[in-house]
Amino acid sequence: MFDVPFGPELINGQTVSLLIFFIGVFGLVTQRNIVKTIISINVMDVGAILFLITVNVRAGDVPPVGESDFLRMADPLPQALMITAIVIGISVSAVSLTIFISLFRKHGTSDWSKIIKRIESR
Amino acid sequence: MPLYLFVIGPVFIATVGYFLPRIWFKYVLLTSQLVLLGMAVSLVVDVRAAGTVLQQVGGWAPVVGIALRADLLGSAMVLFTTLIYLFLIVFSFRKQYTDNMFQFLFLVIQGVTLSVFLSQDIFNIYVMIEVMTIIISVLIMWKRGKQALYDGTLYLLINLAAMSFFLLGVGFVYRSLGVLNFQAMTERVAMISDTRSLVMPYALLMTAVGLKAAIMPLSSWLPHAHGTPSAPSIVSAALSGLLVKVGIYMFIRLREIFAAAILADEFFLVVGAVTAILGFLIAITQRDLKLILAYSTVSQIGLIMVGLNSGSYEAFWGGVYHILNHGVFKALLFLTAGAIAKEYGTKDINRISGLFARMPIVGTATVLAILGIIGTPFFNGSISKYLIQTGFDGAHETLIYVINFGTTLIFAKYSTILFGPRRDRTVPRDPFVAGSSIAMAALCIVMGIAARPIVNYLFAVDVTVEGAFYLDKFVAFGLTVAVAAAVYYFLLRRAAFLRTIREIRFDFPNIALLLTAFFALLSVYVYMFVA
Repeated sequence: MFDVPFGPELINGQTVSLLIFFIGVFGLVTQRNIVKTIISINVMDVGAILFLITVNVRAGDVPPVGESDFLRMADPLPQALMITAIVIGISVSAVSLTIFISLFRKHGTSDWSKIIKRIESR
Repeated sequence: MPLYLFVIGPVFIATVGYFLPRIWFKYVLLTSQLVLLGMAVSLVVDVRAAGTVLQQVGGWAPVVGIALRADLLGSAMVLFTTLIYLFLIVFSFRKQYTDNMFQFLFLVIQGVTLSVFLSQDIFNIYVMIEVMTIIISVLIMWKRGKQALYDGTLYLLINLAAMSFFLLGVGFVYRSLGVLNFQAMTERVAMISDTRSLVMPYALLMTAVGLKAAIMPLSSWLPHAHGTPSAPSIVSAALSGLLVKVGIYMFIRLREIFAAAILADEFFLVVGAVTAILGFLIAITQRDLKLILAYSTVSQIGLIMVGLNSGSYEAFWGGVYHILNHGVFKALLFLTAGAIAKEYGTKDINRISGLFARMPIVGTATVLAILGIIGTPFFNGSISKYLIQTGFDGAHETLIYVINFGTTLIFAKYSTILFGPRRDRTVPRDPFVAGSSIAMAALCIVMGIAARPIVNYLFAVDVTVEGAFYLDKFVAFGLTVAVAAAVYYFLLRRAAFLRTIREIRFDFPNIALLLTAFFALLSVYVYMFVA
């Protein structure tokens, strides 16, 4: 069960994307700055998107564009879905950052724990 | 009837209405809600008469494109959503904050929620829940209060993080099963021999859905999002009555899909029990009207989870029926709490008294809702709680009694606002507020008295409510209320330790840590004991 091959074949889309995802989770848990939290969520999103794009991809696949060879084409469905996910990711970051700006203007800090203290001390 | 009308309809009306004068938009909104309610009723009738409705959107082949499907559960949830929305919109008819933008966003949420209940495509549901998250956080922050801004940001970011888990889970589903359609997923899960390959998708999706449904280690965002002081009361009511049910609905669906390979009922039963008990323990310590209700929502979600995961047929449908019941009485409680807070100018429970004398109609509606939630015989809460209880015997039955005792204790505290001397202040009454409240209170009673035909019709389940049970229930109920009132009056009314519990707050990194820990725990548990 544990004989994982440590070699170049380990560096594929899936392991890298999982690594990116959990780096994002790490940032989420450790960072106290709200901007860094937003960045961490972005990193997690990127990891998940990379994972979906590399699902079912074999070496030598061509992009599913135009009249390329039907049999060597990469799976088009995840790619179509991930365009949506990327767009959602952009809008989500934009909304989060906008909300962060108004939060910062009201509370004057970008630190989660300081905001809590300021709310409680009222 | 084309199912996509339920999704496109509200969004279309919202877009057109946005450009109309405000008062026109209000009438358009009211009419559209009546039409939608009619459509939902006819959908429910159709599904009962002719079976599940399945439609492919955009003319794609089955499984490839997005399918909309209305089955017993889905159509019941559609009816429930449109009904609650009608009450909310009538309630807010004369409110000042409902400008065109607010109504636009509020109506878009309805379309999105309906599409979650109808869609069969898990990626489509991911998109819809993301849209819902963004709009809800904007509505929480609508009045731009200091506290509300913080609560809205916390709500937005923690839900976005959870939805990243969901997206990665979708990726794993696509890798292991090759499809994103619920039906096809269910079929292929049954064919998979190495069930351990499904642990990751299961754990990722269930963590995200668990956060949406606010089960215990993941629920610390909910009370402040639902009970934030300056959020409009219909937003709080929609959140607590309706939108948190989206998480529970997704839980039911995913549990069904993975049932052939992974069924972690014991895990979620324990989690549900912990949620229910911790929920009421924290609720008792609160002083803010809305926060008491929000923590009580957490407790009730725990009860629903206990019912859904008990492994018993009656208790499962009792849990589903409790979703609807809880939606009605909790939305009503939040609406009346908003009206009360506006009348008295405070949300502090110690400074509100004499509600009956001052606002007789709102007071009556509050009482009926309280009677519903504590499970008074002949009210809706009693039926679903009784059904959940039949799924347990012996020692486990005590659990349900404990949870119900906790709920009664919360509302023993809450009902202190009802009595007291009258202090006059003449405020013009709003007939829409009164009408909507009374209609919802009446629904609480109807769903209790006519529970058997309703459950039978909506879910095609024949639940046996024994004739003699009402007698037992009266005694048990009377005892519970008496003990709860006594415990509250003599032990808790002036206890100082409540203050320390009340002021525990998690900041974002801690909540994220809980999310990660829950994911790790669930995946290890499923890997070791289930798969």
